[in-house]
Amino acid sequence: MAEVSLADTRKVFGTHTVIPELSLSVPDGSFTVLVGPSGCGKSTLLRMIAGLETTSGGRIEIGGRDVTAVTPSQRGIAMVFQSYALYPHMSVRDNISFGLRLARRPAAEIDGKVRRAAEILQLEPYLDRKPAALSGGQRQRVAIGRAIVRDPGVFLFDEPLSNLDAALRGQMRIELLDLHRRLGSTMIYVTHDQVEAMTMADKIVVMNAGRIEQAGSPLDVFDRPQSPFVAGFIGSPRINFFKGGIAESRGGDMVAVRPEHLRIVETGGRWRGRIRLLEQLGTDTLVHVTLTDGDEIVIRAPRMGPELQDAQVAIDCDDRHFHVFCDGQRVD
Amino acid sequence: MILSRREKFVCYAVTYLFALFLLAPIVWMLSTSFKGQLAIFQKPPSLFTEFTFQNYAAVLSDPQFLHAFWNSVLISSGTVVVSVALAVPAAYGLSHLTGGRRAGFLSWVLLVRAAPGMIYVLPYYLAYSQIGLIDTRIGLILINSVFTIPLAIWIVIPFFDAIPHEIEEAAIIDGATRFQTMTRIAIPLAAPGIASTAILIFIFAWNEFLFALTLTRFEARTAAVSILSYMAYEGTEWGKVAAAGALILLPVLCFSILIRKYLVQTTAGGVKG
Ligand SMILES: Nc1ncnc2c1ncn2[C@@H]1O[C@H](COP(=O)(O)OP(=O)(O)OP(=O)(O)O)[C@@H](O)[C@H]1O
Ligand SMILES: [Mg+2]
Repeated sequence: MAEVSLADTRKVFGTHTVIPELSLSVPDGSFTVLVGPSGCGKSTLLRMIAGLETTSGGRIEIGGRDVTAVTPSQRGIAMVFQSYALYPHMSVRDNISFGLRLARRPAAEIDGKVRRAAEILQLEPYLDRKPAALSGGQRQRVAIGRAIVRDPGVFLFDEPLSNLDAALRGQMRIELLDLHRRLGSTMIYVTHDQVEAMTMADKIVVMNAGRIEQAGSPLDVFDRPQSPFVAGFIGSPRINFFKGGIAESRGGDMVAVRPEHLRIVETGGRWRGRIRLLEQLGTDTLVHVTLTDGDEIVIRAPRMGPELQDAQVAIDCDDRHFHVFCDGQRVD
Repeated sequence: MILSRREKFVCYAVTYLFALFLLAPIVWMLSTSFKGQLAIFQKPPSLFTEFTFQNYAAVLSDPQFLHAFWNSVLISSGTVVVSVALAVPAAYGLSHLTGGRRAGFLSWVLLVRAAPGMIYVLPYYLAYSQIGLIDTRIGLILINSVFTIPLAIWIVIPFFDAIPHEIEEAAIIDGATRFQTMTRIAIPLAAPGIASTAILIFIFAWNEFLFALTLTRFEARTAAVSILSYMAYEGTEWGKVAAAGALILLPVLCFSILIRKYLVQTTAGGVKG
């Protein structure tokens, strides 16, 4: 078991600074999710923790030990890659036991560990197959099995589910959470899928352009986004932003309201507009409205009929649901 | 592309003509190797008037030819071992270099290969005379390797390049050293490419003529050169020349068939895990 802490870590590729200066503490036993748009440096950060990428500055500690200059295999980590990165020429059994065999562990120990991993991941029937003869989900399990037998203090996942179809992704999400509970290890999980981030994390770290925008529990990040970027990145459909008078009257230069907090009202209301499009989700309807000032907003409303297309509507929202930002920072 | 009937006919005709052009000498050689001395000069020539193994019997009972043939086997195999042992790690290293250094190194490597062999003959002859490598198998293995190693590096590099970095990174996290990553992961995955390269090297060394002619006398003379001994002043023994040629062609033929198997495997197998 191990906590991970980064202090003023930097990463520069040639002249291109990918991570300017980043400090982060990942609590022992947590399921921490790094989330952010493509190219923001999530994989780079994870690879630095793994030791696959050198650091250009700062310190990395795992379990209280400075590992900045330690080789990957000595860091007490295991990593699962997006492409699975299985050894194609080895059977599932040999894939899982490769590290143990390199370390010349006794055969009985290897056998026991492979058996236990195979049991946890329901891989027993496939131990003698080659990776090419497995489905995507099974391959991902083998990759996880390879990680488990290392008994790592920290598991590192780089978008492990993004190559799977939606149904399997949902199932693997649950399996990973079960695994986390069962092993109790620290897990650091990279994704650009904010639904995955919300549902799996006990700590979310939202990254943007190599910086941490906000770190906290999923609900905290959702309820109290510290910057417009976080507000816009977490939550689906995307949050609505308003500028101008309505923001100034609240002491900021921008306010944001989540689609589910906007209401279509009979009379009064803060905004007026025309319904441009209705997206039926079954339980709810996403109502896209063009406001009189030309802004586009989205409202998540209880189910509404298609006859409302092009209708003129009034829209309102409670005061407590406004997120107010000034100069890119949350104002309370 | 869809071809009309006429276009198709023209394509096939050209292909077959070219194949005939390539294969005719081989057919002539094979047919000659089974003929007696008289039938060879018969006019008009015919493909198979007479069928005899006497040329093969004569060549196979000629101790000089057998000695040369055995030399060829040893020298070619030795060249394969030396070249593969040196070129594979070199290719692995180069495959992990990027940018200018890699390109620079690779073009130097190619330059060695592209220079005409004659340039090497004189300096090597002088050097070999000094250090006693003239007319030795080792000497030929070494100079053959000078030419085959660059070729092997160039052929093997793409096979290493095709291995996803993440597979090697996974091995490194699993505790493999760079060397183990090469021997346990990269080489097995590039094996079809390395095998094809080994075969190409064998064929190159087997067919090599210039150095074998200039740097050997008798001890290390190869099969290809030994044919010359059937072309003596008192007249060329065409039957033996053809039979010896056919025997020399045999391993090349077998290996060419093998290499096709490997190359097909390579494209169909892929590395994706
Ligand atoms: N080896 C490298 N050399 C140069 N630049 C690199 C290298 N690796 C990554 N980068 C750059 O670093 C930046 C961050 O890349 P990274 O792979 O960490 O992004 P990411 O957040 O994981 O994105 P994605 O969600 O698309 O995987 C990108 O701009 C990328 O071009
Ligand atoms: Mg990435």
